[in-house]
Amino acid sequence: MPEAATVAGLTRDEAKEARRRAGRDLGALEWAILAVQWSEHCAYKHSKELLRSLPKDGAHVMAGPGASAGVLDLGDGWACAAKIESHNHPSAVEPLQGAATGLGGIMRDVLAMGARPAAFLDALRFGPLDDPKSAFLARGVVAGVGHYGNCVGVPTVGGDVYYHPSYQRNPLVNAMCVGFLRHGEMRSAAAAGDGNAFLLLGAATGRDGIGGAAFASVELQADAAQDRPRVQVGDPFYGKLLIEATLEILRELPVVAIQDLGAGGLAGAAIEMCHQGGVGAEIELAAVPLRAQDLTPPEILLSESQERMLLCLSPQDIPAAQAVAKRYGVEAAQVGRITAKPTMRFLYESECLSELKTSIYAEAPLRSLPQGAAPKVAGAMSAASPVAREDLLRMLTLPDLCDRSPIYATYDQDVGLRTVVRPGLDAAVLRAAPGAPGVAVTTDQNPRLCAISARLGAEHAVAEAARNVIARGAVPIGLTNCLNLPSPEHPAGAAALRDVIEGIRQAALALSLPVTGGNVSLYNEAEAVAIVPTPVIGMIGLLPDPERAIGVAPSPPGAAVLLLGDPGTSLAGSVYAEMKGLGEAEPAAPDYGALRRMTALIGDGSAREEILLLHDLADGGLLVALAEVALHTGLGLDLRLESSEAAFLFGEPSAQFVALASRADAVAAAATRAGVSCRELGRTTADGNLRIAAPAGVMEFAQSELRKAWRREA
Amino acid sequence: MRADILVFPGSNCDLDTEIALREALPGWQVERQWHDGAHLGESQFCVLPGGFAYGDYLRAGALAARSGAIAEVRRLIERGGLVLGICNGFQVLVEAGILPGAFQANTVQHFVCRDAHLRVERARSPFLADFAEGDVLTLPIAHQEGNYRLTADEYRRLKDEGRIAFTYCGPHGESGDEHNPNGSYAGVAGVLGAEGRVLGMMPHPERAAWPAVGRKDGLGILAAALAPRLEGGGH
Repeated sequence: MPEAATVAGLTRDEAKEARRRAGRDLGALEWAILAVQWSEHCAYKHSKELLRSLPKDGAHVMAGPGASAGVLDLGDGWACAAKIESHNHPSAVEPLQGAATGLGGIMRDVLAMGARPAAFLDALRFGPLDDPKSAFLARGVVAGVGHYGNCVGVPTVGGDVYYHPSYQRNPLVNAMCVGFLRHGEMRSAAAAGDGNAFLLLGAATGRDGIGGAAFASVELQADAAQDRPRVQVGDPFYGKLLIEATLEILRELPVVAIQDLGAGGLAGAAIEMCHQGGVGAEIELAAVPLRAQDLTPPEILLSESQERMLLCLSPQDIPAAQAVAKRYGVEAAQVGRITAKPTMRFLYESECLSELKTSIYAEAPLRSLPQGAAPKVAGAMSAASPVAREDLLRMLTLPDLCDRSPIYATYDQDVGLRTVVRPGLDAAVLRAAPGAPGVAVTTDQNPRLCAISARLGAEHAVAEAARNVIARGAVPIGLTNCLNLPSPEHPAGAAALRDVIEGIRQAALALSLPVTGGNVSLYNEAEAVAIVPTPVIGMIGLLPDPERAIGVAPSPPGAAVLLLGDPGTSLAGSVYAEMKGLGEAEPAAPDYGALRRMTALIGDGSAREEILLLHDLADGGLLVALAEVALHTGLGLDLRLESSEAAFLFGEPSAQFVALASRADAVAAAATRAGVSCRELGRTTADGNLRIAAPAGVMEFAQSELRKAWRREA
Repeated sequence: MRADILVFPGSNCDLDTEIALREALPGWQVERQWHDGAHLGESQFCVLPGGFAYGDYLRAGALAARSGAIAEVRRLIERGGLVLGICNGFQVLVEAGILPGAFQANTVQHFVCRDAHLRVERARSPFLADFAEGDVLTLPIAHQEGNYRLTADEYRRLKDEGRIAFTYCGPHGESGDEHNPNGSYAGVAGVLGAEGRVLGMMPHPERAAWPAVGRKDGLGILAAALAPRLEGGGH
């Protein structure tokens, strides 16, 4: 095997296949491009076949997997583009820039669909914060999200965070971006038209981030700090100029195709755009604006410098596009032209450095997964002792359940004037524009459940995300997923990959939800520790009238407190079981029928009108959900519960909600019609205190006591 | 009647301000103008919006304050027009020397985004025509360098001249460090120019001009330019 192929990180068979397809040996530049294009990060070598099993069609789908971002129809001529992506390894090495460029990358994917980026969500996973390294990474990542999002003018409206030892050296940073567009504004990445031009728009090219995709496709090494030069550097100020210049060019000119420059830089974008369009291109590397003088042609081609887009348009329109770019102070250079012949020709000062069929780069040979099953969890749980009032207070202080506002208060949540409901409880709500439809959006995954069963954990991630948008009165219409997994080259990692995809498939089919795309991040292992399989689900719920979403209007004292859905009967996989050391057992699969009935209930106008607030049971079960309602509204709750069993109070059923209602009877009647069980628990009060009368006795919590625990003010 | 919003590279609340001004000033022509070549000759009201003009490089507002558009803003002020600087726009007005003071990083040393309560102070300005001294407004803040610094002498002079427009307070108007989100001197959240026709404020009135979701306290500030209010000039 030639030296170049070894450096490229390809297997002997892959190198052989490349030579066979080319009909010759490859040059150093070609091996370098292939290393990126055939990396796991770009080629989905281990996951592609499995991902094909996910349902991708639905009444709202306008663009699905394969597009830069999924696009869902919201009605009234509006659509929503959304995608989630990981930036894990860069964040492990350089947390601030790693997170910042993660946001930038996903934002440009949404921009490439012709949408205006409207909101970010961040799903973060760290090791326990008593580890100084984890605390350092968490601080840096949160600062990076704020640094990029606040300045680029896109609000961060949601997300989730969990702390688990498996993330100690390999934190996860998943960023989701949501954008809005009018139907006619949607763009594709498929280049077309012999003689059309490639316009490189955005920042000048530097040496940063070279080999980033290959870096993302191996396990993190103990001396990962040496990989810092592979981390890209984001410039949100420039990113803002790029958004405005891109949207103006798309508005003013007939742009044929557009894509952002991500993994593999200019080579990656040009190859993917040409392959999608079934065409080829000639790229003149000497035409690329540089910010470092001595870049070699391979560096120019593969640099992952941020804040760049590649546009395909008629050469006649180039001057007009450049005029727009100039006004915003961004670079715009014609760097190539489309050819009908489907080959990629890379030139430097007119000298041809390489010519190879587009498909050789774009169609990486797939790899088979090793056989093997995930290790089984023992499954026996000890009986719970009677619940004590301290259990709730202790639970509210847990890092996975406590107040998240110290994180999201450092994010601009409002810029853009689309944020109807800010972060804090369940899903955030966005409007596309004044008077336009909107969405409820959330990201979810529970490491505790995924550690017990990757498949069930993935199913519950979909169910929880669906519950969160339902809680805003929205109907789930599609999801994007980010699969963070250990190495697929080990049997356990391979099993986890199969299991999470199967879990998402089951849930998506059961809820009739299309999976509109996403991202797979494998090799999340560091220092021989593999992460818990982490399939993060980003859910989109449709709200025709977002200003009337559930929870927008404040709830008054004297409102009825209702429990909708069947109560918990098991502690399997619950926070309570973990806190009490009761052992691990597989929870039941989500009750999809109940979730569908709940969706029907919030669609019933007579119930919807009366529901003031809806909050799903998740981590911590019923008592935590009730405490969260009290904390969120500042209201007291005076309640009578039918059971003092731990499973009733702290079990985590998959389709249960606490509701505040102006009229209990109307909601109860609609619940009966929808087949949802409904219990009236009591009333909200003005004193702010949580008072629970149950068969075993009365538990009372002052608002200040709950707040002190939840804010971890010892 | 016409209101203009100046857009600098990195401004990111300009579109929001346009939406809010259309809500607050029905019938007005509302335009966003790119700073380079901006012309305020037909304008009665100019807003410098929030954001990160020039990426806040050097100091927040420092580079935008050197834009040619600032001369246009000065001419508008001389003509008796209204000028409102919001957040980064306030920082630009201070860097341009149009308003006094200076900015530092928030004392908490990070970006803060949340609703803040503001007490309307004893001041004369069209921007306050809708309010009485002691009124409490709820407006969102979102900034990293909102710690507004004045010397004790400057503060006294502004106070005596009725140029302190807003101070941070508790939900019932009470003062105190615990209600000051960024460490600003004496909790000052907004100051007025000499004639009361220039207002700089860190909180975002344009984010509270959305009555349908219960955020409405910014509307009165943005409606300052409505003709009848220009006569009376506040309390």
